Amino acid sequence: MLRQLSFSDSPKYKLIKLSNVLKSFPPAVWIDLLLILIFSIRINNFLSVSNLMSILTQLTPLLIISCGQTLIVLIQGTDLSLGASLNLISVLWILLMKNGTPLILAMILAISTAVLAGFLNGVIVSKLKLPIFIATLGMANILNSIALTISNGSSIYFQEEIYRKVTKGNFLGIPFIVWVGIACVLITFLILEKTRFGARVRSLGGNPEALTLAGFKTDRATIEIFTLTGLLAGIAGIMLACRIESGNPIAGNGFEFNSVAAVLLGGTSMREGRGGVIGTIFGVLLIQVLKNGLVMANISSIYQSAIIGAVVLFAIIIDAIVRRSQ
Amino acid sequence: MEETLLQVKGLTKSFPGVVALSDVDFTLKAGEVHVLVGENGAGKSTLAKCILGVYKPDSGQMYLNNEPVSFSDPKDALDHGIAAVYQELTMVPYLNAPQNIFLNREPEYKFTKIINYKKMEQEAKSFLDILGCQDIDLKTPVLKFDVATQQMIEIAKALSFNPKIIIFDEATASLSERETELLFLQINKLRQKGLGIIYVSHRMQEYHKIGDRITILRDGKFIRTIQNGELSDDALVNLMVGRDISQVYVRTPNVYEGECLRVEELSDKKGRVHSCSLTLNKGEVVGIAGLVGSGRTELARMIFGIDKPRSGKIVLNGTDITGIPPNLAVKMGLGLLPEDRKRFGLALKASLAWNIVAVGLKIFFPSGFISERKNIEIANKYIKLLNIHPPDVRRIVRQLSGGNQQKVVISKWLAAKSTVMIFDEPTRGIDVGAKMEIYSLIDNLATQGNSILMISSELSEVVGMSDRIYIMKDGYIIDHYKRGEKTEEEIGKLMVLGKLC
Amino acid sequence: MRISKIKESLINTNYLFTFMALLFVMGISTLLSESFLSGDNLITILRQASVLMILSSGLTAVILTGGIDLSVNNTAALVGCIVAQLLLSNINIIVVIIIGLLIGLVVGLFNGFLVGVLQLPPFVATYGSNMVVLGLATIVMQGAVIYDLPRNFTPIGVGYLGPIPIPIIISALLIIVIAIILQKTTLGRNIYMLGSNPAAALYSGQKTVLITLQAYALSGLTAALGGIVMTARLNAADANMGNSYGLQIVAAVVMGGTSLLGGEGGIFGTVIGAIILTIISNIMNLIGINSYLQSLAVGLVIIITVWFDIFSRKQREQRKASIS
Repeated sequence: MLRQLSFSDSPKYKLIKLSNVLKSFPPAVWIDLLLILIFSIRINNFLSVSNLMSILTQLTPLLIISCGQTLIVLIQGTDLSLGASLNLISVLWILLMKNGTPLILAMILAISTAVLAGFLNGVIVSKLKLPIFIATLGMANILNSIALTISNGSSIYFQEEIYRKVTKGNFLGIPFIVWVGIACVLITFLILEKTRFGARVRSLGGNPEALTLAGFKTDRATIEIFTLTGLLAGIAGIMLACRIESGNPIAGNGFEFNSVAAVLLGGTSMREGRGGVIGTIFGVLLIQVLKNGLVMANISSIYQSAIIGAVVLFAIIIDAIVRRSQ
Repeated sequence: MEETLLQVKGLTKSFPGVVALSDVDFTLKAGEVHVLVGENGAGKSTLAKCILGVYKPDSGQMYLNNEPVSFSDPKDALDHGIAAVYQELTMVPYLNAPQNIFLNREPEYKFTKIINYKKMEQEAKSFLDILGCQDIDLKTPVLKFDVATQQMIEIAKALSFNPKIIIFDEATASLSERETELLFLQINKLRQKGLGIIYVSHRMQEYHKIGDRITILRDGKFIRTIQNGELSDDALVNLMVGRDISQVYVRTPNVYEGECLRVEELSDKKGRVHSCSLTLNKGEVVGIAGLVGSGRTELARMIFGIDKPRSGKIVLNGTDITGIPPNLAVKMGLGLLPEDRKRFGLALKASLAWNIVAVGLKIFFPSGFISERKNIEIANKYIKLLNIHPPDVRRIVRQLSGGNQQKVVISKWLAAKSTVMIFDEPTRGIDVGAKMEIYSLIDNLATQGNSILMISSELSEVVGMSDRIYIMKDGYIIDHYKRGEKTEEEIGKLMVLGKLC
Repeated sequence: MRISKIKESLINTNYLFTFMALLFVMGISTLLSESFLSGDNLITILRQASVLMILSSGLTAVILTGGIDLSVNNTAALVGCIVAQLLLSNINIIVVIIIGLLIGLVVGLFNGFLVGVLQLPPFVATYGSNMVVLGLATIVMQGAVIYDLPRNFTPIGVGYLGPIPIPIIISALLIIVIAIILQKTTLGRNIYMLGSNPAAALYSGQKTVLITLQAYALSGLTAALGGIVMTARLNAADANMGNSYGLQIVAAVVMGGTSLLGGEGGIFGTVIGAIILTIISNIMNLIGINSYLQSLAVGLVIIITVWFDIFSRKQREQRKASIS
């Protein structure tokens, strides 16, 4: 059974143990530290409180989206409709307010739309047996289309104090928007690690049959997971609208892919149900620190996308090589 | 008279192309261990799965405490007090032992949906303690444990339902001797508590130790239920196989001309195989007898080139092939019939025609262009030669029965003109008729000058078919014998204990 | 007897349901607009569909291996941008095209290396290279857009050979070549077998890494060709010109009945898938529907077609099982 390692006290073993501890962190953690180190040496104000807060404020919508994406990746899929969901929710919320709907009601309506989209994704995946990739791709088209149609393809502006309250107002020196992000991460973490729902997610990703034998319908679990992801997308949409102080039908484009990258960099695996939201934080941080650092270092925007891509690819390759050596 | 817990009458279940169970009767009393025996494909597991609600029977009735019941799913059966330990593990790899044991019924704090991990761990520990597994770390994801440990967690999970009936479906397949003893000790305790236990196994030596009654199934049919000790081993085997075994394994006398495969001191990187040496002559069938997990499959994979050896040498027809990739090994005439044909042997979504020429594509179509007509001709030739049913070249392989699928894998290698073949569990999960055909095929191949290295956990098969037998235990080849030098029972003892007493 | 046999063989044809979806979409379009079925319009549809067909043809091979290539559209953009820059510096057009194709080949081989040799999940690997390729395109263009390419280049995208537009001829030839590769060569057979069961391919002594490399290289090559035709058709180059194709390329393949799990499907389904997607935008343009709503129809059609395909596949298999 469990073999006792007889050389557990030897220095060699301690070295192995140390390298295992190092390996147990996702690649994003090390690259984050490296990037922060480089940027803080090369850029004067990089570690200033105001810059750190601006990084955190900017990364919040992606962070919230990525929490949901973590769940989908854990069940071996990728939700490609999340970016479109952000587009629609931000546009819908602002538009509803512009048409005289009270702020809170508009917010609830907008978020419910995202929840409904998530629920539909879940139904299409579980009942119609479509691959997650295709189902959410179709949904992305539909949501984008609605967002573009109701906004007529352009940004919607509506004066409202709440934007600044959310992004500039703070509690303990930390902007409210960041608190919302923290709350979303915490709640997703709690749900994933401390409730039956979390066990169902890991079971669906690791061994769906175990779930069936335990008397839980995998269909229902799938729908639950997509619905929760939809809810998180709704909240992220509101946060994004607050940050850009408008409803923009294309502002969310690319979030679906960036969130997948963040999740994977954070050590969540697409194959075996390993990982969780804590790793995802570092993945999101990597993307945002890189973006922020490149801007502050005055590197032309022309080169940014290639550099970010190269770093992400590099991290993915390193992760694969490290994992194979285990 | 003991109370009857479970009664099954006239149970029938068929799958596309196969009648797995036909009109089977079965009773289980409280406080007994009832062993289900039969060859692979006899319907033992199907019966167990029907009782557990995994499969829905086509016809027949089950009675639990004399009440008619039918289960819609395994949960339903569990709610009625029927739990199971399956042959395949039902563990979620990234969850730890308590999470797996209490999946979907985790204890929660009052008025919240938060799992009470403390309570869950305590309860899990209590069930694991019953099984003598105090040393399982409760925080480690189960994928870090070996299969035997996972199996014990699986049993703890079954116990945690406080069932009235537990079905062990080949549950000891991956356990060591000591662990099996421990398990039997527990089963005895459960029996004394008045539980009914159905024990599915194909290991001869286990029936006597644990069984009260034994029910024999063959080809999906109910044969007989006997008291333990009522029949001699030979008589029991005859009932299982349905004919005299001496007629099953027919070998044509053959002359061996020269060595074609030599393995010298081969060890692997994972520590599963330790300096194994063996030789194989032209026209010879050589068996490797060993338990699951003794390193047999790892040895085969290394010879074929899937895994690279750590040290040692492999020589094929005089050429050193150590460490070469499978594609080159194939070119040199080596073939491997893998242990799990569905996972490693077949493109299940592809047709018969495609699978049969899969290995020999380069040989048949050297220009790189495929002629559909020639492909079909070749496929038809092997379909006829091996009597593959249905004889339809376009049929998708997934829809064939296990025996016919296995024949497709064999024909793949025959078509590629392989001369040295490794057969890893060639008859696992296929019915008796197809087994016979495969045995006579092996004999034919050998007579034609091909060489076969046969790995099997079915003792009678290795003993019956091999010209020489190597015995493998814990990664070592501990001994080898010529045909007829040792009896089946002696080989079995060597395989399990490593010695003869 | 004979009729039932014909019926049987029809049901067994993999493309039947995809084809029915095409007829359905065409039927609806005919009802919606009289000019839809005119010869001119049909040619227009094919011309519009040709770039999508070219881009998704190589991807079909990759998806048949059980992989995916998310970098196709931006590889096309990168090649288009480089080709445009080279043309502006007056390099011979043949040389430029060869360089463009070589760049596509290199990107494809790189993807194949990540997936085949490093064993990265294809989705992740090609997503990563997609970001890099897009970045490189941006660098090549230095944020600018190039208009007005040389007169001898643009016919690749807008010219005619007799009555037939050149892009249609290019895509038709390409599809025939790929169909031959997939259906009639050992490489094609190995691609199907690898996708059907990678482990079995390895255990059958196939050079799985080499097959993977070849499939991704093919995808890179067709992406490059698509990029060249796209640039010629637009008579312009822009780093973001691949955006409009995006995941439509994958959608065309999957709508054509090629399973994302690999091993099932083929190039003709992809052709039909690409045509269906093009018809949708064509008919909506004809009847003057806001272009924003086109994406709604595309989304619905993707979901319905793929569902139909999965559903019918299941039915077909049950039928077959019950016959035996």
